[in-house]
Amino acid sequence: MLKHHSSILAALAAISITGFSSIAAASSHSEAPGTASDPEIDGTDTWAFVNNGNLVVVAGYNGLWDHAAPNYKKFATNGVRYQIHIARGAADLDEDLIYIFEFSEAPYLQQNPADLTKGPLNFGGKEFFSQLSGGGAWAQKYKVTKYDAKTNSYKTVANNVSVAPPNVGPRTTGAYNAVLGGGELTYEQRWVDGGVGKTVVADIAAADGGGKVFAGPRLDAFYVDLGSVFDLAGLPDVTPVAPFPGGLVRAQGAQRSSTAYRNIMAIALSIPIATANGKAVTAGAGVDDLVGVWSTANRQQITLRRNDGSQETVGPYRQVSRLGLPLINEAVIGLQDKDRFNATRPKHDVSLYGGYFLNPVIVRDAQGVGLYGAGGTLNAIGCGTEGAGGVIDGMDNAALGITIPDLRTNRTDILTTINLGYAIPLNATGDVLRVDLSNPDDLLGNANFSIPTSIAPNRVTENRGAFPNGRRLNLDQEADVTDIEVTLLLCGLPFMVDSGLAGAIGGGAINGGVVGDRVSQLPYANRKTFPYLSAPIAQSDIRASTAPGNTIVCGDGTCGGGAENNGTCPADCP
Amino acid sequence: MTDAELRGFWHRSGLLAVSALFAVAAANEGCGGDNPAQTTSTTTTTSTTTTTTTTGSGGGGGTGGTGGTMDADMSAAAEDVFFPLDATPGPDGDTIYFTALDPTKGAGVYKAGPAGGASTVVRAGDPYASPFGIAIGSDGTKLYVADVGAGADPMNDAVLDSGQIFVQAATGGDPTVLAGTAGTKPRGLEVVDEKGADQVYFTGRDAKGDFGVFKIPAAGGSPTAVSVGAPFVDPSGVAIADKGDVYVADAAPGAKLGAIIYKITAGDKVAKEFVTLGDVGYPVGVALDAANSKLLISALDASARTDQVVVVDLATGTQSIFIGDADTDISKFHEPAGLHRAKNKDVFAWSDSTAGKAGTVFKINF
Repeated sequence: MLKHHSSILAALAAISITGFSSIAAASSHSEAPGTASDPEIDGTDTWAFVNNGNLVVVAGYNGLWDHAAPNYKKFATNGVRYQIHIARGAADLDEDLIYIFEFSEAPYLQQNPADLTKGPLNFGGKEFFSQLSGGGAWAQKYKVTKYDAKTNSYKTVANNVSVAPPNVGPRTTGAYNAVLGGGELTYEQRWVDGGVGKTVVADIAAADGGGKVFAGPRLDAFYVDLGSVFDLAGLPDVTPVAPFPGGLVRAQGAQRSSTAYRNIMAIALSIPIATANGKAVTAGAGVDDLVGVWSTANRQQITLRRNDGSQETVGPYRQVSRLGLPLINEAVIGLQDKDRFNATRPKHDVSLYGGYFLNPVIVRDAQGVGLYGAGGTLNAIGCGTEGAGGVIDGMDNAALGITIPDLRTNRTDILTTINLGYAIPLNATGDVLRVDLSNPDDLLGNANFSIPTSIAPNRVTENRGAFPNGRRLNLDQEADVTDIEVTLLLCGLPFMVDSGLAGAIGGGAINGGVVGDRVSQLPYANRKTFPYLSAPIAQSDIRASTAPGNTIVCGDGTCGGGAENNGTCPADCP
Repeated sequence: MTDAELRGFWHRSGLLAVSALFAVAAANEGCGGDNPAQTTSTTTTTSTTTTTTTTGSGGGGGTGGTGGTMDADMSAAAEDVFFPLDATPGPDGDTIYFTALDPTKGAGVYKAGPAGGASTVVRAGDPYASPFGIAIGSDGTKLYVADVGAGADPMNDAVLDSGQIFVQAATGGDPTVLAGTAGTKPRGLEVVDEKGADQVYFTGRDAKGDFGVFKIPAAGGSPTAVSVGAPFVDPSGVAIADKGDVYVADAAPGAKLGAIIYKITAGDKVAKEFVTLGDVGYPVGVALDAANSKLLISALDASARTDQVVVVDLATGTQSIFIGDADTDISKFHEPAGLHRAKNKDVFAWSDSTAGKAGTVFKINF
């Protein structure tokens, strides 16, 4: 019979959805039912940017650690592949390169409890401190396989590489210093910076394209006030916030980052630009030097749980998580499709999920609580005005050639933005981080948002090095992607341009035209060097805890010293 | 329409027009979390689709050649199935036997008669646990079931559920363990008559834990390795040619994307890459036609991730794609499973757990 694609009907069905759902559970962390129940494969964020002649890609997994995760968080080793995907050019989103990370873990050394000869960092399976056992998260290794579509070939480019262990705390670090020598080294000095001549950072040979890789726990660089956002967008500057029990009211500026002082498991890859691009970059306008970057996690289809407590996986690999741009699955895709979104590829995003991009339900949510109506917060800043029939008239921009007669629908400005203003075909438009590899490093500045100055074919010329033209980590503070995306969705691209956001986004919830969660400052700086994310916070550090009375991540993200560091937060740190 | 025109069209038009564009995009692109693209050219006949693979699929370098046409007729043998895993016709292709994971009757062996319709239980429940594979003996009286999760003793934690092959009378009753197969974690199997005695070929592992293809007399004994160790990682379905060549599907070969069919030439122990596939379901079904001229593989379209049966002409390497007949379009489904041929006819049994309410077993006549 005639072969055809059954996806036509599926695509039409998706397009017809006007949706009722909103954000599911959290940021890019645990954003879908499937990833929320399977943290080890839950992609939290992907960062990609040019630095020192390299394309850097960092993928985070398994986020939102709390302080009760001192020494066991690690990568999945049982039938899981973590992958970084790179598609060159703008003609399609078929991968040209895939870096496949597969982790393994030596079983605990079976140890007779009566054997007194081992130790102190190799007590084996009889130990209950995993950092003294020599196993568990201290025994993870990985290999990296590079798939090159041009030659349709696979090559192992790194093998038997050690994963950085957990940062349990100063007593554990001290124990390692005492036993392994090298002086009084910090966690970062011992494991990453080669303080004793060793590092978990591994090189990829030049013959294999060159570069380096890292895998291990890192401090999460993403920041967002999840508590307020998911209390039906209870942001003090946007919507009224009801008092908490006892009459406690969260004041303006009292937001806190739910991801501050939280670790993730991170994979970092740095490869020469020429390897990423398949050729040298050329100066000037054009899409030749664009790449699309995203990360995935893939599990084998079937898990067998055996009666000795072991698990065995069989079958083909199924994609279970993916991350390109931040917040797409969480803030754009409806609950009904979040797991499916994680299982499909970016090249199908327009056909399968185009309705969500064109009709962002978050606008309807904001409309529902009166933000666009007379006296509404968004109305007041010129973001959009609700008129007859519920139409929300958005701002227009003649230079961009964009008019938004109704913010609720036909929002092609969203696709224009994620495509950096280039005319990119529908089948090459999707949830990927676009990176212009010809960007010189000196275009960093403090700019957060990359503005297309006109529709294609012009290159993005304003703030070229800023999000969403890549997503940088080699700044003290990464772009406030939450505020940028929320503003884009709620107000549209013309509003962002006309509000002069190109130079500075950050600060307040509505600050210079930005709508967001008011969380805009990391309480720590990212590394300026590979692997760019900061060292993981020790899990015994009080800052890793959010237990009542121990919160010190308050207000602007730093509560300072004094009483707040003693676990007695003042009223502005609820 | 150029990109600029397309964008202008967007700005001039409403949602309906944009939706239509998306529909075109969907028609062009398919859907699903597919593996890297394969390049194929497709021609169609009234009853079949023929695809000539011009480059490798899913990353491994496929077989080139010119496609031919293929006639086949398929029908539902059993539609009231829950999660069918593998299916085999009886020797003459009338009765279809299959394994499934029915939530009320239990994991086990079921059958459907020549007229199709409701299936009946051959034997379900304990000791069956994860019956991934089924094959039938030459005389049609005995079924052989590869159960990768069987073997546990609920009264003795020291007895591990490390899998075994069961011998099951086709008429029902309690199965017995095929002696010599306990602990082998068997997944796929086939039974062939060699010099008047049935031999069971199966995929699983040896005592050292290495995976591969093994052979054991249908009466029991000690498994002998046909090919073991690298490159096998997750071997599944197996088919044996009359002259002894063995074809094995590996669902997760190394770090590679997609799946690979390996060929072990008779008298050799080396598994060589024979066909690469963009994607597959599980268990992966492979079967030879009666003339041993074609290898049929239960697979998924690498882009759309929908069912297809890849038919490889063993003489030319040409690949054809079968996606159903005038009545049944299997490209609407997306969880293909095992595949076997009747001993004496070109009748195949194949199943999918997304066809119908919870799965359907099909009979295919080539």
